[in-house]
Parts: sequence; structure tokens; C-alpha cells
Amino acid sequence: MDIDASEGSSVAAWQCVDVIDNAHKRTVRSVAFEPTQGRTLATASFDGTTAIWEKGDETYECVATLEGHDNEAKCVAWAASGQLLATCGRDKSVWIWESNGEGDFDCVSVLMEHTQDVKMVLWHPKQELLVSFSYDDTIRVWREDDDDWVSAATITGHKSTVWGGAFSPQGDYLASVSDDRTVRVWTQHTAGNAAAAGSDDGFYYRPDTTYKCVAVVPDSVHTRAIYSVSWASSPPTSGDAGGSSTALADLGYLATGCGDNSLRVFGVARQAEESTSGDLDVVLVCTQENAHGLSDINCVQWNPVYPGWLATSGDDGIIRIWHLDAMT
Amino acid sequence: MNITQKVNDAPLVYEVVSQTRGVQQSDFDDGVEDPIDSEEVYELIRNINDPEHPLTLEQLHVTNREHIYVDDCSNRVLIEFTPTIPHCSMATLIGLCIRVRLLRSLPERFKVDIRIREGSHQSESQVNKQLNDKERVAAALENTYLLDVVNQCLATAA
Repeated sequence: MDIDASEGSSVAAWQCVDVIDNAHKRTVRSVAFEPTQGRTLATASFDGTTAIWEKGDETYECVATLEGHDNEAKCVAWAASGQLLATCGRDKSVWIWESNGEGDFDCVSVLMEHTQDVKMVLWHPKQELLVSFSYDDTIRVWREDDDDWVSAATITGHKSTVWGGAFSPQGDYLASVSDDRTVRVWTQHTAGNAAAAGSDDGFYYRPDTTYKCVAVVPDSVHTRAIYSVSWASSPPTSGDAGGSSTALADLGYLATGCGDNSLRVFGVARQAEESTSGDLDVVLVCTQENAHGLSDINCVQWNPVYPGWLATSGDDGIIRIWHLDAMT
Repeated sequence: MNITQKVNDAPLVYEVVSQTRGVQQSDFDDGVEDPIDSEEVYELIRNINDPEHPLTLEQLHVTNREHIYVDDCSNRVLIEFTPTIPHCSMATLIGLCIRVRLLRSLPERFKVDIRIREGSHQSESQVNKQLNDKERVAAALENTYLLDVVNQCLATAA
């Protein structure tokens, strides 16, 4: 895949360094690099399997095939430790796999509590906590309890399919995006405060963990389904210039990819000290209309290392790299 | 399709009313772009075959001119279709045929929403959700058997 550099830019063009042909029998829906070494790649396919590839001398070789889903697998994600893998699919299940140290994986758990197609799985950046997003309009949080994986919470509030989400860089907040055209931000709060939480959408009471909604980007902003969200931290302030912008976005920036062809960036900030609700302000900072021409944007991802750099992909079949000046 | 018991054995069949658009001066001018309108979209879907009967969606009043909404400027199309009976199990398939027909014929810029006419089907929200989930539609169309069925229904629409 060739990616065009922006005109007049001093940034070199991106080169395709490898192609894995015939990796799967059907659409390859999700890919993820193992986070600690970056030499292993997991690919999940509509053929129901998840393949594990290792970088050899020349190219990638398939070292394992994880089977189990009854039909289309939709997402694969590695835990931060690189030891656990999660997959999900249209069969409504979430599977957790553990590396056995020999390149292969054992299935540790099959979680069957969603009532519909599961679109995405996402690990917490620091804890072994897994989140899944579903066509059943809910988000589920899963944790390990005594060698088994259990549902820690069910987050309700979205009115249609939840396509995906992103944790804040510190892992204290979760943003989710949906076919209902809203972005919602959730945070954990202690069971003792369940009665004080107020809002009746956001959580099921469980003795264990509850989540409450601390921000909603209303459905008037995005005019079609939102497919993807990514959360970046605020870049470190460099002198006075950065000061005012980080106050407006002390919790960082959300980027969303939408079916209305627009790429949007929002600043996230804690509300003024007088507010005790814990609510956040999510403010639109910038909109790039027709980021992929007249095509849906399917995925957005902030560069994890370099502030202000964003990658997007769309129904136009193109991957674009963006740089947001205001952030550096 | 190989079904012994049809979902709707005795559908109502309607007469087709042919509407011709008047010819205008601008039709001969290549410099004037013709916006896509509901009439053009109707032309694309009226002759789709019903999966069960040798009849078109128009003849069964499954598709109706009045239930097609097009905004060429904002690139939006909304189609409401009316299954012949409220428990019609062919509804999802019919909706899928409409979607494929438009995917293959309309310019890519259009965002197409397909819904069951409100109140005409007992599972309309479930069917609508599937028909408007592009990932579900894409996965369904990778099923060669299903694609064959869809293509058969579309054979008369070309």
C-alpha cells in the first residue's frame, strides 16, 4: 500500500515493507502487533481464525492459528504484557488466549455474555482488564478472578451498536463511540457512591465495580455512525505557548472517525474545581471534513510516541497520516 | 430458491403504473449535471425480483416511489420498503438485494439508509439494524450462497 506524503512536506513517503499474501480465507478484519517486542503480529479474520505471525529473516511466517469462533472474528488485541490475547466475533463471544511460551496460545476463557455480535476488544493500558464493545449496545468489562475470567461490569447508555473505544493514556477513563452518533466517556467509581451517581444510564450495580458516564458528545455533532476513537495525552508543555491549550485539554485529545466523512479532534478536560460531579468537558477542537474524500473513516489512531501525529483509514482504501499543529 | 412452503403463498399483485419523465432542454446539454433523484433510484430497484415469486418488488408494492428520499447535494438516500406481510422472513434478504443493487449502481458518494416502512413488520428494528450495519452487510456478501440468491433476485433489475 502506497501512502502519499502531503505536498511540499519534508516528511518522507511511507513504504510498504512486506505483504503477507493469502493470510486468510476471507477478509482480514483486525491486526495487532505484540506490544513488548513488536516482532509478532496477530491477524483476525472473517474466516473465524486468528493467525499469529513471527518475523523471520525474510518475511513473516505463520506460527499458530487460533480457532474457535463459530463465524467472523472481528478484533484481536494484545494485553500490555504481551502474554494475553483477546479476540471477539459475530458469535457473541470474547475469547482470551495465553501465550504458552513456545509461540502457541492456549485458550484461557470463552466469555459468552454479550447478546449480539462483538465488534471490538480493548485491553487496559496497565491492568489486566479487558473491555468489549458490542452490537447489543453495551460495553462489558472483564477481569480475572481466581484463575477465571468474569464480567466485572456492564456499561449501558448507548442507544445502538457500540463500535469501539479507547482508554485515556493513564487508563482512568474510557471513551466509547457508537452508531447512535455519540461519544461517551466513562469512569470507574466506588460501589459506595452508586446511589449518589445520579444519572440512570451508565452502569449496572454490581458489588464489584461500577462505571458512570462523565461526558457525552451529543448526537448533533457527528451526523452518522462513529466507527473509531483514539485518545492521546496532551503533549508536554514547551514554554508558555503550550500553557493555555493544555488547561483546556489536561486529559488529552480524542480523535474520532465517522461515517459522515469527517475526522474530529476534541480536547478533554476536568471541569473547574467547583464541580464535584467528576464530569469532564469534551470540546471540539478541530474538524477535517472529507478527510478521505466522500468516504467513511473507519479507523483513527494517534501515534503513541510523537504528539500530534494521527493515522486514519477510510472506505476510499487509503491510509492517511495527519499532523495537528496545535498539539506540538 | 428451494423452499417448499412459501412465506406468503398468495401475495397481492398490483398493476405497474408507468411514469415517464418529460424531456427537457437541459437533458441534451452535456455540461449540465443531472442530479440523482428519487425517480432514478426507483428505476434501479423497481424490477428487483421477489425471492419467492416471479414478481417484481414494484408489482408487490414492496418498493414505492413515494418512499424513496434522495438528497443529491448532501449525498443521502433513504429507502423505505414494505414487506408483503408483517412476519415476512424474506425482509432481510429483500433489503439486502436493494442495498446491493444500489451499491453497484449509485455513485460511491452516496450514503444509503434502508429501512422497513414503520409499522409494517414485527421485527423491523432488528432487520433495520442489520441492513444498516456495513460490517454485517460486507460479511454477508462474502457468503457465496447468499450472494447467488441476491444475484438471482437482481437478474431482472439490470
